[in-house]
Amino acid sequence: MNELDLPQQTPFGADFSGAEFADNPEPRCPCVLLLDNSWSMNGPPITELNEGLATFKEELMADSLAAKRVEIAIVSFGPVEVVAEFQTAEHFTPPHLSARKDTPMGQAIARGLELLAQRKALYREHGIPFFRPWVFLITDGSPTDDWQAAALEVRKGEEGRAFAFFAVGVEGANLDILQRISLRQPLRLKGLRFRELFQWLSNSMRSVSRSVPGTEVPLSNPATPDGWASI
Amino acid sequence: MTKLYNGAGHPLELGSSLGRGGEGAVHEIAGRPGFVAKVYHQPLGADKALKLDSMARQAHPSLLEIAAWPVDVLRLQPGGPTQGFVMPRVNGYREIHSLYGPAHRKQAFPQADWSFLVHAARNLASAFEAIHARGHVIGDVNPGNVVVSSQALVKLIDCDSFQISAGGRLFPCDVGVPQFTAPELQGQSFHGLRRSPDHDAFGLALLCFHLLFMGRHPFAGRYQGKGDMPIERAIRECRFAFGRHALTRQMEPPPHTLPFAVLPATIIDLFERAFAPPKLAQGRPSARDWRRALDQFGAELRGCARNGAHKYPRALPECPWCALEQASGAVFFVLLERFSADDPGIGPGSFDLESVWNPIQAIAPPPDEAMPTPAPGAGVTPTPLPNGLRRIQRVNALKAVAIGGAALAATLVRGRLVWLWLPLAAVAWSLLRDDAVRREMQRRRLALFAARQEWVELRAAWSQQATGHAFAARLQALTALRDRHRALAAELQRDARRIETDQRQIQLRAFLESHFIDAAQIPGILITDQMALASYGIETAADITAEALKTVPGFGHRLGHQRAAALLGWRQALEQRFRYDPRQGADPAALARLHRQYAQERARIERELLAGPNELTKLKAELLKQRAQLNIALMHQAMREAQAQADLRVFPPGLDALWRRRRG
Repeated sequence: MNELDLPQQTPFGADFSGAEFADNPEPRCPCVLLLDNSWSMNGPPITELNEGLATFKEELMADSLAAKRVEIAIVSFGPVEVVAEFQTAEHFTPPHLSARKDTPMGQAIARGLELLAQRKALYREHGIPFFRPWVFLITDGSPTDDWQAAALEVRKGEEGRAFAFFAVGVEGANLDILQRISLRQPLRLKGLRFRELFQWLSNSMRSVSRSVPGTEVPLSNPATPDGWASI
Repeated sequence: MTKLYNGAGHPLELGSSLGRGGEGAVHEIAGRPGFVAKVYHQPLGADKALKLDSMARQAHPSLLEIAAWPVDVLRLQPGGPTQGFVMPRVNGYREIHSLYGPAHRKQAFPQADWSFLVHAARNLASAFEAIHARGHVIGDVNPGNVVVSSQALVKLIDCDSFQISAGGRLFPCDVGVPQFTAPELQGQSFHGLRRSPDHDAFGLALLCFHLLFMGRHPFAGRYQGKGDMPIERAIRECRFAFGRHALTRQMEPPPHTLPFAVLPATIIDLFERAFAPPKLAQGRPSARDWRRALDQFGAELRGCARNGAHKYPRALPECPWCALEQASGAVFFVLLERFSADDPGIGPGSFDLESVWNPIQAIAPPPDEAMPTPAPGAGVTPTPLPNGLRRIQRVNALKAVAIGGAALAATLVRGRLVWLWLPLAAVAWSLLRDDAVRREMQRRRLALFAARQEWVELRAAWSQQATGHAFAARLQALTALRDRHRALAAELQRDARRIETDQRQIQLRAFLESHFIDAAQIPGILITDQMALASYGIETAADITAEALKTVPGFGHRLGHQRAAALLGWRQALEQRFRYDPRQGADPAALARLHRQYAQERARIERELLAGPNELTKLKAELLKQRAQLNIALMHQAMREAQAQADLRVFPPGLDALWRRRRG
């Protein structure tokens, strides 16, 4: 059967998906957060993580240009769920995560990268310039699913400069596996300094969003004695 | 408090810090409110120090007006190394991106329509012109270095990076932003690069485009080829996405952008020349070219009949913004109609309620006047009966006497038969008398009746048309309008506040809707409970209410009590954690609608109030005219009534006449 003969569906009505880009055509700086909400995060860790997310929004809102440029999407895993679709910081509402089940990290990475690819296609469609996206993984365990394929995707993306992938391990995380997924040195979160982590992330996103798409921005080292991370 | 020394060695005291950046901090200067000090973290090298020194010596009023131009240098010790400089303070200006981006503009510059943007572009061009006229070049043109005021005045900041020519020496601009750099300079190092006003002209055209095209970059389009097309590459390859050669360069304007063709030919030509390959362009349009063309363009704009916030070139048959907003679902301009965000005040300059009310009050209400009872006037003579009738009257009298006499005689003779004689006499009288006189009397009685009827009608007309009711009613309506006008501002504010409260509700609802029951760990709620809830449409915290839970089997009764309480408690806990974000603000479109609605109402009230004095004067004149007419009618009526009465008097007074007189 000829492919052209297949019945085709057509969308109803006008497409207003471009309104957000017409309203705000600033270059975008997408950031995907892959957040572990497996059962082991239960208690103080998940509370601190939620507080950290609220801080993230507040810090970004303090910078009018970053608020228009930084776009946040959140995929939580345990199970994998898109908690927040891409939104500029202005419109982002920090979600409230609760600890649930396992740690399907491989699936979560795949889902996050898929979201990113869709978003980039939308940017191209609407003529919106964008900065190199960030993918930020935070976990406290080791993957309970197949992560090899995801690791390969991350590697390809990093090498093709399609995005920058950062991994942060909370107490109890398997840093060996993180090291095999991320090309960059995974960082270990000191205690439960989620708030400092998100402050650093928003500061970094702010300097990236004020830079020029396609240029490298020097980031402050979070692994100093005062910082939130150790290697 | 830090003490520094200016170029002449005089001490300056720094005030509080206004901002801090990578290379230095900006401070207030004690006793010099119009100026600020930029102090570098590190002492400056000899070249930079010399540059600042020559800039300060070249400070010219025309530059200080449009730029944060250095006017003096600062040193830690007199004669020591330069550590900073003094510049005019730029206060109340916002970065230009908050003007050209529609979302941000609706908050930061709610009153700005397209003519405001055109005017800002015009002022931007004139700032460039002033810099170029003094022989300098901006070099690092980018949105971060341009700020705009609420009057569309433009200032350039970060002037210490400008390329300065002083006394035959050139101090280059060592920085730049590739997205705003001319194609011929793409890929070159900015360090020591010698730039010309023509390079600035490229950046100026880019910024003008951002202002006119709702923040779009002219080189950010839909690339038809494979892979990404970063802006720097698009600039280098002259892929102007809106221009006439866009398609041949595999570019297409992004969706939902203003069509390039709505611009007048002069402006299209300027953009085409500014973005053309440098070899073909033979020099880009200068800042002066832009200023002149934009001046003319601004004068050719007109308002849209359907939406006052839309401005477009007079030459176009219809408003392009209406079409664009309809197609995209975006709102580019908000209509505030003489209202500003800070002052929802109602009295715009041209309408002063008191001065409109005074003439209304000055019109004295017409005096009350009872309906007059005009005297019939002397000389009413009864109309005598015609001769024929008088004779008939006499004959009738004789007949009456004869019949009466006969009846009397009969009674005397046969007294017992009196019951027979009297009816016989009556029958004889009715057979023998002539009715012509009676008919005449009836006619005259009807005339009197008609005259009295006329009086009743005139009285009704008087009470309807000749009293001050209409005037008083109108005055009362106008007073109500005046009071409403006074209350409008408060009501508008109240409604605006309600929109904001709604905003809180909307945010709270969105927050609650993002919390799913099946994703939460609620003690005592099992998966089966979740399924039961879900089948009754209760899926998120927003759906949980006591009423809704009652309808779900297993939650309404005693056993379900605990589970229902757990759910309600969970929702309550979430509500407590919810944080309202006032920065999201109320929906500017909803606010604009509200303002428009109030503006319309206010305009209607003002129209009526303005028409008030005229209306009242007319009502009063009309009333006096009616009274005069009714007065004349009443006099005529009185005469007619008097005449009719007199006419009736020619008849001998009968029993009915006696009765009538008593009543009258």
